[in-house]
Amino acid sequence: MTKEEFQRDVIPIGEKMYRIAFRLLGNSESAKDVLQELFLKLWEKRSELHTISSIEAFACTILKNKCLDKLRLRKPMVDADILKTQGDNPHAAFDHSESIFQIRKIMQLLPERQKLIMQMRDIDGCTFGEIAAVSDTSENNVRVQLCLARKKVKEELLKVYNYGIQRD
Amino acid sequence: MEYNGIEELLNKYLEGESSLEEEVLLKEYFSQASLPDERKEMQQLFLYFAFAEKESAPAPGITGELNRLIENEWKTENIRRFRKVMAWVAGAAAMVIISFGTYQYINKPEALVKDTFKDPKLAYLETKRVLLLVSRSMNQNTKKLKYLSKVDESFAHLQKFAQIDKVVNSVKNQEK
Repeated sequence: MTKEEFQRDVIPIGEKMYRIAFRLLGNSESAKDVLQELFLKLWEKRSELHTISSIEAFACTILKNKCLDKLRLRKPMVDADILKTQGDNPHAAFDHSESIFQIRKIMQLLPERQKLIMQMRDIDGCTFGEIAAVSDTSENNVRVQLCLARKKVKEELLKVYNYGIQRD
Repeated sequence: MEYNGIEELLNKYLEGESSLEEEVLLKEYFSQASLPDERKEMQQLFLYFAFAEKESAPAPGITGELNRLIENEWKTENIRRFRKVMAWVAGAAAMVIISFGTYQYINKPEALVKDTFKDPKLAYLETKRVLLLVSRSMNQNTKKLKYLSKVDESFAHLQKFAQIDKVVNSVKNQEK
């Protein structure tokens, strides 16, 4: 793969890869670092890329491993970091909409993997192949988990909504 | 967007069977301001997705940054490759020089040691002839050197100036 082909076919997946890295690491600094590492790795392997059926899924696997390495390195910080992004997100401070806060809370009720799958699909627009590569499972299982997550969120949302109506 | 199709699309969505394109349609549908009441709670969910999408979006220049990264990497690789080639060329040139030198070194002493005459008597005569030739030409050139004696004669004449000096000095002494 030449430099021009690489820039035409591989670089454009950068935005989605960034979103996934952000999803896994919880902050933009680390996500950017990992993204650079990922693309250097892909560049190194550019001679093999044309033999790979889905560059995105391949990139997702590398990205996931790099994110896990990074999370392992900052073990003492990780819990605090996750709490920060999950519960007390800095953006949330500026978010005056109660419903967004409510949905964020509902998403926290989901098991870790289901939450990640739903976020990657519904927020970041990832394919099942990409999600499967990141969450270490089959595409079929991704569909099943996604279905469970969406139904659970809808159910919880209805509870909140009906409670709101009853309260009024 | 067709309202009738939405229910079906929503069901597909909940079953995890909708495509990314269909999910985009749902997002567009739920971004409308006026929707029936029974859709309000799902609208909240889709509005949240749109909101959260902005949170995980990269800075606008991300593609440019990645392009620059690859461009730099490509340049460094080329420099490295050029240096490698140059190292090989230099190595090859060094090999040629060394082998040429070695070839010369091995062959030259043989030529020096090799006898030009097999008969010692003949060799002696030849050496004598060469030495005579050298001495003859040397004698011829020394003839020209006899003119140097003339310089000596001229210096003898200059001795007379010394006498003038003496006279001048004695005159000076008498004046004192």
